[in-house]
Amino acid sequence: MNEVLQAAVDAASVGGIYALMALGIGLIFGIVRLVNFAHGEFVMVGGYAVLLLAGAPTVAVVAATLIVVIVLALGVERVAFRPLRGAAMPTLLVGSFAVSYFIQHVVMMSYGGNTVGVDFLPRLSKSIEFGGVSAPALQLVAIAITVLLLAGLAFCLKATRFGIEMRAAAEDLRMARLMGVPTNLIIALAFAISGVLAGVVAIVYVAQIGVLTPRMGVQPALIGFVATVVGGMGSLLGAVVGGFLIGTITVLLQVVLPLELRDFRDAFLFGSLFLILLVRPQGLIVVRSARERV
Amino acid sequence: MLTVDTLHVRYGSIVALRGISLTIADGEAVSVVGPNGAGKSTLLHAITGVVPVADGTITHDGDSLVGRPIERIVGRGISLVPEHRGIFTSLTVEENLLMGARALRDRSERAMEIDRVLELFPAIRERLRRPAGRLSGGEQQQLAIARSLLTRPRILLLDEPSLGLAPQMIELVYEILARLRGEGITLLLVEQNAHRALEATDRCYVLRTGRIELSGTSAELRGAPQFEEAYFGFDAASSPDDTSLDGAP
Repeated sequence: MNEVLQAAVDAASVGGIYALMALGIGLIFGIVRLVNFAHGEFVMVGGYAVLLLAGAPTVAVVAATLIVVIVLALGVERVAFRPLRGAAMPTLLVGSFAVSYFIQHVVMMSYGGNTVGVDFLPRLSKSIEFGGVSAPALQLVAIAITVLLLAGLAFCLKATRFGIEMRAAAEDLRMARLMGVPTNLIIALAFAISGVLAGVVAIVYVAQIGVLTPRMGVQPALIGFVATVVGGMGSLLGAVVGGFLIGTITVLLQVVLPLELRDFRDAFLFGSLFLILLVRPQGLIVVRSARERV
Repeated sequence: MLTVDTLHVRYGSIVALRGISLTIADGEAVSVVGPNGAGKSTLLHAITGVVPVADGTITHDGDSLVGRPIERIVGRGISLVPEHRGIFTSLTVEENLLMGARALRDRSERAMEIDRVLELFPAIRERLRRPAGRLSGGEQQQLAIARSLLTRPRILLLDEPSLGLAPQMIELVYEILARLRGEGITLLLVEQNAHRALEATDRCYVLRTGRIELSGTSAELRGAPQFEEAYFGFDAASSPDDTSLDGAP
């Protein structure tokens, strides 16, 4: 029983981070049909912001990191992605990779390509025991933050005017424009929210792993992207479900795989995701986007 | 007054509209009929800024609409009810209506306006909390029209509002259009169902392969042999199998 509870805590922690990544990517894809691989670099820049601000009060580090990542996300939208808006999918993909590599190499020029250590929130690495389960305090904080963030975002999307407009734009941007929704504002808002999500992931991720590299965002972005596909491209709920599903499968594999196979866990992870897509190629949750002929 | 003058629209190498000219006066109800692929939807999309104009002009009260963003055109009171309704299926009926009423900043004014519009659509009022994707086709069409009315349109553009609806629902939609016409809302109705369109409007343009083949008052065109000829592209009298305009291809 304790093992199950332990696995559930681990799955919630890992899945929560993946869900936040997937939501950041899924939100942008839903509205502008852009797979933003630079989302991983938003996380990476957030990590380096934590490094730069190390020593300042925690609240200041968190606030400044979020601001840095939001500004970066808005800047990337304005400078790189807005001019490409409406372009063909391959163009958007190449643009997204170009932005991703550009940011990576700018950071590399400043900090080099080597791993840099950062000791953020060390007091949260202490384990807390409850009900026979032991988990680092940081893991529990990460779960709490994820739940709060997802609940807050769900409330905003459901109950506020901008939230309703954003959901409408995510389903059918052209129809939302025909209702008078200002495209630039709603897309900028989506990028700002994806910046907040990336900033939170950066803070939790850096506190958990304690090291930075310019390529540290690549893997989480890839997992986030896969989670949006498995969950159902264009569905925000699907992105969250996909993130938690991948987190759960990851933790389950870690538990059930024999020791000698654990190094190959990702092969089993992606193999199982491939099987899910074979059964449901459209993803777990399907959004029916309105399409009309011209 | 909405004026379209020698309008050309292209999709790559395909020419969809070839020099369309038409006018719609305030309070007038005008229909554009024609077979599938004639360019009717494209005309509405060009007016609302959804597709770019290759050549020609579109003006509303003397101001050019060409090149303006969609949301600015909507802001002038030009509202489109698109083919297949364009309902946000993942939003509730109420949220769809709120999207229409988004320009009204005051909460109570918004509620009053929604209440006023829903008087026309009692079936919708009973389903406010339901996801819009779960409404029937007829209810979705009513929702689409209600949502557009909440933008307080000066000109309402309707793209095939009877498409895919049961006869009873078509009657209801046209009853609603007649009431809107009575309220003085300018209507531009695109239809394949030519007879219904002629009954519901003051004037009509027949569009075929991107060109206006014929135009006139609905009274003039009703039953006129050249109307069927313009619609089908041949002399209807010589093709006895294809004399009905209802449900034309």
